[in-house]
Amino acid sequence: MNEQKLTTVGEYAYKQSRTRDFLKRYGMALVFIAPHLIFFLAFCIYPLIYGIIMSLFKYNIADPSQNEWRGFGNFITILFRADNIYHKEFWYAMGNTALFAVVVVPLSIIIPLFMAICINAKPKGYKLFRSLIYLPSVLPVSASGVIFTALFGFLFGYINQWFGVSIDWLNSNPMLAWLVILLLCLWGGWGGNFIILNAGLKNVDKSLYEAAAVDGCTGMRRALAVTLPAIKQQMVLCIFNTIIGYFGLYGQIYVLTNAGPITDSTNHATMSIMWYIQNLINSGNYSVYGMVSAMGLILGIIIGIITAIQLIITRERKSGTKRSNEFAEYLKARGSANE
Amino acid sequence: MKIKKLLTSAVCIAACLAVTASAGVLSACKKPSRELVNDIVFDEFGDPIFTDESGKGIRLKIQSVIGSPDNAYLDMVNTAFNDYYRSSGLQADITSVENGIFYQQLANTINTDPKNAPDVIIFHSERLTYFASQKILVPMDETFELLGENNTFDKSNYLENVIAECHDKDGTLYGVPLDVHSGVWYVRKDILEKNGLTMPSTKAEFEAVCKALMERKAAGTLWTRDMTSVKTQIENATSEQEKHNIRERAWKQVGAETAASFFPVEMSAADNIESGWLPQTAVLQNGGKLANADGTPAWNTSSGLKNTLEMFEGWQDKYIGANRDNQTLFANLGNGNAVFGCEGPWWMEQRLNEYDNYLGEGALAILSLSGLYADDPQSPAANAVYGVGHVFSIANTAANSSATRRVAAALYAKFMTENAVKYTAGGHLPACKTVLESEEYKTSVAYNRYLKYMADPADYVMLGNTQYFSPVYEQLKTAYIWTLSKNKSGTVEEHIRGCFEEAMAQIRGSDDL
Repeated sequence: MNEQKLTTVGEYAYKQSRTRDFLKRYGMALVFIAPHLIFFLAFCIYPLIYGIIMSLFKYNIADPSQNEWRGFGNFITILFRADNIYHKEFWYAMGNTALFAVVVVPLSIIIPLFMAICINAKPKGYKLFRSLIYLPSVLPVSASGVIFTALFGFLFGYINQWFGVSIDWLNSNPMLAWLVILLLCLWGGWGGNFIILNAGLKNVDKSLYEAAAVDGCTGMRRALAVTLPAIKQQMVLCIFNTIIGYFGLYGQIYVLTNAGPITDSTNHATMSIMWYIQNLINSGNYSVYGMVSAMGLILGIIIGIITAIQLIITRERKSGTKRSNEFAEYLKARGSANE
Repeated sequence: MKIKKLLTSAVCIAACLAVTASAGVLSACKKPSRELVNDIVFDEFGDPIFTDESGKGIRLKIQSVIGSPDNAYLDMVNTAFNDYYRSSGLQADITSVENGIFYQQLANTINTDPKNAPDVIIFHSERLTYFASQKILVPMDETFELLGENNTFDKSNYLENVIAECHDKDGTLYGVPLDVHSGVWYVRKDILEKNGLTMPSTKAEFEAVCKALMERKAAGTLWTRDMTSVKTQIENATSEQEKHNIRERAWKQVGAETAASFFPVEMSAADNIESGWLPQTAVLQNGGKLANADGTPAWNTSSGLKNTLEMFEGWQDKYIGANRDNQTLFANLGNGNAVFGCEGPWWMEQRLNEYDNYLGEGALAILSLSGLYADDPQSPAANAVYGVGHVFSIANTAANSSATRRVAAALYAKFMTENAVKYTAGGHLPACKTVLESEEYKTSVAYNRYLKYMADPADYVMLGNTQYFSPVYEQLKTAYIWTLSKNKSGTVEEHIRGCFEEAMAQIRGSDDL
């Protein structure tokens, strides 16, 4: 009987010590990650799953009795039913967004890269310039939009006044409207890529530059042959983050053009996919929420595919010399076998 | 490893919770339980008692789409309601919600936020049919019937053309109309009279006046007057004679060079307020309809619409300047660079005060849309004007399952509409006949100063009982906006057809959902 008591106490003490050890080891980590974890679960995981469920329904937020199971009907409509207005406008907006991303992404890399190279040369006052370059990124989109509206306004805009022209930048020609949106995106966005590329440039091995100098490689040739390959990882990161970011283009369009000008009876010329989804939610049609959820998921899948491409491209680089080592071993083994 | 398992478990638990909550979506397929609980208690006079045993009364939450400046007038009537019903324990608080988010958040608030859900909503009556179909409103007739013999609500006391839009497709009344209104032309009557012209009343006269003004401009004999140039002087003037002299000295005779930016009409492709009235009125004044019986658009076949839009298209750079925008309307009217500007009626009091003060009484006049777009001014429909109304409806909330609360909401709607004289100062014509015919209304400053220049209330034609409000109304606006757009291609007829097809595509898409 005493033995059993000792055994029971021993087991009890063992369990207690395991729990204490666990908390001792991971308790502080849990305390620190708990806020983010709770936020992540409540505001990311839960809405994601709820959205997936909604996308399988005709979902009416006003009258739940009208909710109907549609299965993949919403997805089929968006992807395949060319006669349906949601299909038409979804892909029109997606086309606008993709085309804009194709144009803005190279500029969003080249311009910050150029600035990073200049700053990396540490000219006089480079610290001030570095701050000024990043400053627009600190401003919220709404504030930037007010600035650009003041600049490019038709009647009282500063650009028209300074240059003595009378151009309706935002409400006449779609190309002009896209140009202003592009300028706002570049101006507001170059700070982030600049920081990453600048950091990348700082980490380029100085011996590479010395070696290049010995071989007589200077100036532009050095930038192309030494600098760019050395910061390839950062550039790939910037490219894909920028692409993914601009697939969510909304704020700049909302504050500048609200997807106008209207080019014909059907289309808002500067409509992006996020603006379209948001406009559907605001349209006053309470039955559209299932369809909108499906659109959001399809957009998420497309962005996921882009992310996957990024992972595949960067993964090979991360493998380092693994493949070459494996090949060297293969050759060695083959050579031994031949002998 | 353990932390990884813990995190994985947490994510799985969250996923399960999400699925469970999502199952609420399935279970929510049942009709919400808001069955009426008949808890009304009447006093010895047959009036409902609004206080409970502890003496606590009912405080109604009202959400209104009416914004500045006319919400100030509505607040006056609300104050009168509170004063009247204070001893009964019934009070009401109005919250004004911006138009853009009012309709978006309404259904969500009613269904998912019971604490903040409104008891009564004040909104645009053209959306009533749709809201009724979404079951977020409570039938009004049935609510008044709960009062039994003490029910004094009489539908015939409201304008037939206005209250018709407060029914759903089946003819059930879901709201009590407050008002009807339309845009108006603000006219620099002083400039017209100085140039020997009179206020137009038909399409041909309107165009003739514009033509005459432009001819005078070309000849260098156009008289115009800038209000902004005299403001400071008028404020510093010490006598009426001095003010009169200042106003007379402000007149200038200008020509094409000195008044290059003068164009008689302010219209814009920038989605101004006029896009919500002019094309609609053009359809109605030429005998057309805005919506068919099935709710689909009926304006596509209107020859009056086509003719009017072609007329507006022809006015560009002729009577309408190239640099017009919704910001310039009152500025250009004020500085004499325009004579006609279409805006909402809620600015009438403010603008008339401004012009009377600086340029003298009668400098600014109000011109209704009656007869201005009819191809045949003698036709019976020539005076029709597209009307927009505000309506009181009871929200279908859990709180309103109490019959006492529902009746309180209905009595609120009745009181507000039957005592709306103060509200009309905001540029709205009352929908209640008692108010229209009252001495208080007819002798009011607002009526004699500007309301009587709006169209006859009986001439207003509403959008009708369509649940496709957005495609029918917004695509017609698009047709107008495109007409004045600098970026268009094709003819007006092609574009009307395109807008109609887009509206039908939206309706089919909505029905497919």
